[in-house]
Amino acid sequence: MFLKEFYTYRPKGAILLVAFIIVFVFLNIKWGAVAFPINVYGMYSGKYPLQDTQWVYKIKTGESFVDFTSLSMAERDKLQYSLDFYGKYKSNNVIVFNTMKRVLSTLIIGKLMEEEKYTPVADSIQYARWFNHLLSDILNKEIHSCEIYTQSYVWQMNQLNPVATPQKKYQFVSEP
Amino acid sequence: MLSFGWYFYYGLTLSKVNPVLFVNRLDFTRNILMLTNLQGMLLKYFWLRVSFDVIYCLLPILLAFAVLKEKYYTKWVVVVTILFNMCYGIFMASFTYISLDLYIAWFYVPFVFYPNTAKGYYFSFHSIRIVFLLIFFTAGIWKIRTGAIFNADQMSGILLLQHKQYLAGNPSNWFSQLVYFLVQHSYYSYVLYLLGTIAELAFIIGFFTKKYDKWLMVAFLLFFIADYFLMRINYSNWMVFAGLLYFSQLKKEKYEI
Repeated sequence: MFLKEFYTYRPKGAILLVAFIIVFVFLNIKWGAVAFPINVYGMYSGKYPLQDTQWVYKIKTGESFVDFTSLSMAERDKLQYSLDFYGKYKSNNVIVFNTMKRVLSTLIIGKLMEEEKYTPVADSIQYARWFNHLLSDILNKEIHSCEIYTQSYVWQMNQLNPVATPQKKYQFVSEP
Repeated sequence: MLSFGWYFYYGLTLSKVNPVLFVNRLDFTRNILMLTNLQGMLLKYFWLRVSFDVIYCLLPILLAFAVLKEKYYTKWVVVVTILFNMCYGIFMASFTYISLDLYIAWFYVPFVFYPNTAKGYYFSFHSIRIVFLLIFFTAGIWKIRTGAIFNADQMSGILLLQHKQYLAGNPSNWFSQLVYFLVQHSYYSYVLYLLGTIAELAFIIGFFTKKYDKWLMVAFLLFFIADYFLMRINYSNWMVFAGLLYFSQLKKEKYEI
């Protein structure tokens, strides 16, 4: 048996491997925070109901909207997830910081955690400049202003249907 | 190198993303690493982002050189590669949408080269092989645990979430039509999900025998192809794991000196 042979050859190595497997199984059963490289590798094992409302971004530059289907998968993801991140990073980082600090407070590590290191905020002008630069790279033209809309869709009658008019969420304006 | 080339071409390296913010996660390792405030320095200094990319690209080359030439410093290169890849993966996952999961292969596989004896290499190789099998097997278990496998609309829901921009933006596009077909005919999409789950659970065989590793490798390659073309997720960083299945049949006795 492999583990037995490994233990005979190198006891510390075998114990390390078994300990790793135990911690891996423990973190997967416990289902909460993880400790890279021991993650929960669910790979789409969550629940994804068909009836969930889908929020879609529409990016308007000038008079036209960006056609996501004309972009590569990486370009589409960069735009979509950048906007997702921008919408939630501030509140997310505060929640994660407070949770991790509370959990790690029993160790000296928690006492060393300073909020400003874990929750820096990008000012809106900086982000606008960054996003417009990203958009310029993807669309191969200079973009200094864009409007971001979100629109909700639901799966009805065998297709994705809009259920509201697009709502303007952000406007990014940067200097030329 | 090919994988890094893909990320570089699509501007998914630290020096090309040039991030202005990051998203934290409930990950002990990540939050302990952030005590160093490397995340703040990476946000601030372009030269540091370039340095990280260059080191990330060069370390596998240095490791390959050290292993092939049996250099005395191979162990140190392995340790540096593992630690650096951990940092790089953590920060890339914080600054971009790329999941930290995609960087685990370059964290685990260098362990294979840590020993400096043929017998040690045999055990390190198969230890990392076990880790890889565990990852895939638990992915299948998770689908049972959450009940996802019992939801006939599961894959349809996943496809809708993953490709909503396509479907809403241009429903007549060929890929949108393909996704629509699978979402509308949930029994076809569910079969894909079910087959994927069965393939993940099949990795348990690898804990007991290496006889079917080539079949597990085929399942792994199919998983990569399906993710790339249907889900539009690039798992090329994980391709190095395939070597753990392909070379697993080499007998221990061949390593006896």
